[in-house]
Amino acid sequence: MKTIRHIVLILSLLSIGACTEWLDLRPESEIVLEDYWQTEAQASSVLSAGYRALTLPASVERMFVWGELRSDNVVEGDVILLDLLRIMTVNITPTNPFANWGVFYEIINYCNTFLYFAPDVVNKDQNFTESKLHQMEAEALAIRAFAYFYLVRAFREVPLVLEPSIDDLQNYDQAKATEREILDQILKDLLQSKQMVRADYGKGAYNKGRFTRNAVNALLADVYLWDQQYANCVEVTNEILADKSLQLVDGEKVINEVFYLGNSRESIFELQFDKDIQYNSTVDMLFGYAGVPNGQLSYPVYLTSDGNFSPFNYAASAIKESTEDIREDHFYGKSVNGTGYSIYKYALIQITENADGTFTPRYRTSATTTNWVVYRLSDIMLMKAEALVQLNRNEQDLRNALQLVNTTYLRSNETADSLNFIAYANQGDMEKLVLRERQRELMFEGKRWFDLMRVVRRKNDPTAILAYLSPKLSGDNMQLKKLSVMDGLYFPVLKSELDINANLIQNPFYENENFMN
Amino acid sequence: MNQNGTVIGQLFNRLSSRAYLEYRVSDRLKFTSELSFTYSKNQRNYVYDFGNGNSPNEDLSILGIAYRKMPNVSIFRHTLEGEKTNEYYNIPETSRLHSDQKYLVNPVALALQAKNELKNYRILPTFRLQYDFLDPNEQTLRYGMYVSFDINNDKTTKFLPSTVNNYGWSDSRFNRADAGDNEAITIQTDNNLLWLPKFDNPDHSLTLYGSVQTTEGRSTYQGIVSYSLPSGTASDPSTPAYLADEFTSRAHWRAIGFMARTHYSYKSRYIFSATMRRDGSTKFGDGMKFGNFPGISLKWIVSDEAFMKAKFPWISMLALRPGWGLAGNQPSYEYLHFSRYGDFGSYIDMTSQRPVSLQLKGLKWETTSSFNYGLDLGFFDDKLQADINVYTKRTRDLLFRNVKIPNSSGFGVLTYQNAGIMDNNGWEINLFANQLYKSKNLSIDFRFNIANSVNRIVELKESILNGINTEYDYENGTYLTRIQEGNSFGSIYGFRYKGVYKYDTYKPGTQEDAPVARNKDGNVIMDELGEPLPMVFAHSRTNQYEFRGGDAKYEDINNDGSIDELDIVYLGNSNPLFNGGFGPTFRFKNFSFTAFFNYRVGNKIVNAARMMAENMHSTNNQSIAVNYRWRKDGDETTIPRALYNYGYNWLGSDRFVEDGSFLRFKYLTFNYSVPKEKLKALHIDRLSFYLTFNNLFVLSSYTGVDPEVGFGELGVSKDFGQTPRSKDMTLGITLGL
Repeated sequence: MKTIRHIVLILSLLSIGACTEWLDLRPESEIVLEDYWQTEAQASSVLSAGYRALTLPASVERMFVWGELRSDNVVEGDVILLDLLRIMTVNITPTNPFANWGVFYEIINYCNTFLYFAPDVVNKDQNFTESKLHQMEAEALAIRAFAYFYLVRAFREVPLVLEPSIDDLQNYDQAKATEREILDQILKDLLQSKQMVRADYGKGAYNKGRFTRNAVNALLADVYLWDQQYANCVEVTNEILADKSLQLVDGEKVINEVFYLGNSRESIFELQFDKDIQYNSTVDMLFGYAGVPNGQLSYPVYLTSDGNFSPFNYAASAIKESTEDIREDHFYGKSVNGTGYSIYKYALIQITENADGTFTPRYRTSATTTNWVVYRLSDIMLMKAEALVQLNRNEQDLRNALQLVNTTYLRSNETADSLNFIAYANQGDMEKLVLRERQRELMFEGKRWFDLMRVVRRKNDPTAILAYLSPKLSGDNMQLKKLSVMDGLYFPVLKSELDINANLIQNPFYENENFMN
Repeated sequence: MNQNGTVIGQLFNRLSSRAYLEYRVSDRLKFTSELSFTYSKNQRNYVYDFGNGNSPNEDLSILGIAYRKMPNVSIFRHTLEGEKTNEYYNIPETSRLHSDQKYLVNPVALALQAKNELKNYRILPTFRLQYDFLDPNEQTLRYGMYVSFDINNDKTTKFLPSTVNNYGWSDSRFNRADAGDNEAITIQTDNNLLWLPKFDNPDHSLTLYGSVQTTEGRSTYQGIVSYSLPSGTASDPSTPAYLADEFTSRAHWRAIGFMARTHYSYKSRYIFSATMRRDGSTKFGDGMKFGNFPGISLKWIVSDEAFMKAKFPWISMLALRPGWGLAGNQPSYEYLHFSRYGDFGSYIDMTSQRPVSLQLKGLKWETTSSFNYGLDLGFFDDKLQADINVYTKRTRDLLFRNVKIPNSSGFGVLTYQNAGIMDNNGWEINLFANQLYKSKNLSIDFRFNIANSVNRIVELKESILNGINTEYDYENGTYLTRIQEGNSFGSIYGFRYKGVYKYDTYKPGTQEDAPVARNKDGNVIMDELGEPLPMVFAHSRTNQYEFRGGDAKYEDINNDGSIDELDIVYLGNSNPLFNGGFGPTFRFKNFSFTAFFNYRVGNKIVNAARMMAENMHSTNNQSIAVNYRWRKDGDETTIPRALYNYGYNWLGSDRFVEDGSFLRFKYLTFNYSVPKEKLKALHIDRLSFYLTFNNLFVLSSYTGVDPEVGFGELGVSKDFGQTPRSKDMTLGITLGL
């Protein structure tokens, strides 16, 4: 009997040693970190995840909501989401889901993960050379800068996370960095990216859908403009404009070639969507499509009455602009049920003019495969014009700015005369002209609010844009008051984010104190 | 077996069989094998959940949809002449109606035409071996082992035909088919040794037992979803159509346990037992895999002592049972201690992979240590029996699921975290009166139980506490919930609802009941111009709102003229004071009948279903109570005016907090056994008939469908209008040969 007990004892002791190994199982349908980061293919897959996350609906929605929803370009459409309506009626609370910045940090985390682990793959995969690594690093840096640029424009101050999130023992309670720190990081990343990034991927969709040297420069120009570094902005836009493979599409064909077919010759960077993997559902939802031609947003009636604040048929004293602008007919039109103006850009395949001068739009079906254009040539031209106007070193700067405006203006106003310098011969008028031309050219592309914000930032005066916004508001004094506070022009930190991160502080405008005093 | 559900379109079928084989090789060696097979088919309602923009107060069940749907939309389409067709009607997509209603599916079509079927096949073979080393009549030293297999296959098929909604052919909700197969096999083994040493002194008795157990399981899951199928009748997702999703997953897990147990009794009235377990699991990372779980219990049967028998002969049982033990709990997922990389679609034609999880390096076993004090009582030859249990449990390293972490990490949640300490204290009393009344033909038994338990957080990680104890969000419909260290779960906080403002403008004397600020003494506060200050919601916040006539009136607790978080008060708790059940059994000759009631006393329920049906804030269908809403100055009512997507008339207040006490007649069973003498001739051992009625009635002042609402998040009962309990009856025959 004793022997039996001994045998049992020995057996169980042996099994204790062996069973720690027996209890180590790895997943079969996923790869664990310890086994990942061995090959070039794995590294490039994580880089691709950064792009992939940019195309998530949550991301594209925010690009538009943060970049244009609060501007004068759009008003309530058919049946709008309450949270969108609240943003437009200057009733943003910290519970508004569009104050959730999560998706951009998801993108940032993929980039951080890539930048942290990819360099070591060079030692493990012989095919993965240093130069391939650097080219990919350039893209990851650019994607990260792109995400931070959205965050800094929407929130001004956000946590600056540059390390990957790997395990539960890390501290995730990140405090906000200052706007300066974030902009400096963005600029540093982009300048580094610019040194290494490829100019050409040898494939159409890659050249428009991934960060090329032109795309990095375009982003850099945009950041310089936001940061009021105008000379630098002019310099990088010149680099892009020197690339003669970029050409403006004919004005008549813009709606079809740039926004329906995509990857046009004037495009520099656009997020790629397709039928199988990722729909561009934002466009469907906001602008409409064949099934529901009235999207959640529409073009405001007040911008159609000719005058001081209408982009088309603009008329102030002697100046008349855009009386025969193709963009007026192509970018929006009377809605199907005649109650307002539907947005056509992105929603149409093409538009044809009838004999009686009316237009027949042909809508896309709901297969929302349209790409989301981030940067295109006309945007770059107008960025440069804006920078030149601010530089205003001499009259030539203003003349050059006007020439750029005329380039985009004339392609859509084929029968019109070019705009005459005499009418805009001072910095203030020229600044407004550029702003107007940007509105005409880039409406519904998620740019207008940021354009207006740049005016506010330059003048350091939130009331500088009230004149543009007041027709949109119901005349409620409260709304105008709220828009007259600098902090109120940025988004609040989402409440649930504040609740769990002890180091985060709310934008003071949204604190529980009397903002009106 | 067939069973219909309480909502149309539900049906449940089951078929099961079982075989048992025992083979004795000798007196000492025995093999047994067991095999059971179950097949079930469960036809359920389709859950119309496509994830986007569902508000938390929205119920996606068929009943929830039916509650919200415009009541004047016909179920079936009518022809121009007004004749009803048998085609289901949906509001066309081009309609100008609000999309909340427009896209709400036809609930009858969803119940009857959409398919959501779960088929399950389960095979459970078990093989056992038992060998006695010694003659079992002399002394027991027995080796036992078993191997059991659990083969469990699920097949889910779903189909959403285009007739239930109005989407166009290219929408992902048009003729959408899902199919999923889950195959799982679990193998358990147990090797054990039992020894009952023989003592010459019969006062001693000892049991020693040790075992090693292993579990290993594998499962694979694969599924496919496609839509825009060409026909509503060919509902297989492999039909050529758009592919929405395709997925496979595999899991593999193992666990090992070592156990030793001893049981010792002296003179059969002093009893001691102790257990030691060591468990290991693949669910934890290096150094965290094993947990030790000991336990000790004592029992003293006082009534067997000589002095008790002499002095209190009417006490037939008095025993004390104190015990202590540790128990472990592990997370319900595998591979949490890895940072895993998974597929993430593609961009252009580059495949994407991403880290899908944070590595849980710190994850460890959750342990619960519990003390149980039991008392068994019996009087008058056990005619009256009672047992009383009082327990205190303390759970350490509480496993919290989906712990929110800042979004700035790029992840929203940690799947699990050991986050705190929780206490669960409670008591339970069971009484049983055996033959309370007895005569020749009639006897009556009665049983009764009453119990309560309270959960209390002792310690919780600060970020989780902050995540739960959030600041008030100034939105309609939310109640403040708080967890405080040392306080129990389930407390509800909100405003006090005082009815509706009768008038819009304040006129002293005549129109007193108007939305103006009042001071402590009830006098109206005037501004510098002598005008009364209006009552506002959320003063000086970005969503400040001025109350008007017909708006909901909330008590301004601090008399500052603003309804805000400072006016939120405690409204009650979802924990009952106690609950339990009782019922008699009557026996008369060969008849018996048993009744059982259950009850719950003193709990509060948030009636969210009523909130949604009375808020008049959206396009949802409303209850007839809104006919009594305020419409013009001077209306006296408790239902505020209708405000579409505007105003603050349905803040979380005591208006929607109701008492959930109830008494339910749970079941009533009649039984008749045919007397044995009569059966002998037929060679039947036993024959009885029974008839059971379930859920006969419920007494409650609660206005919702069913007061028996479960405890939701943080122990607060929130009722979204659940499916009512079925009232049913069962008729059965028991036959023994």
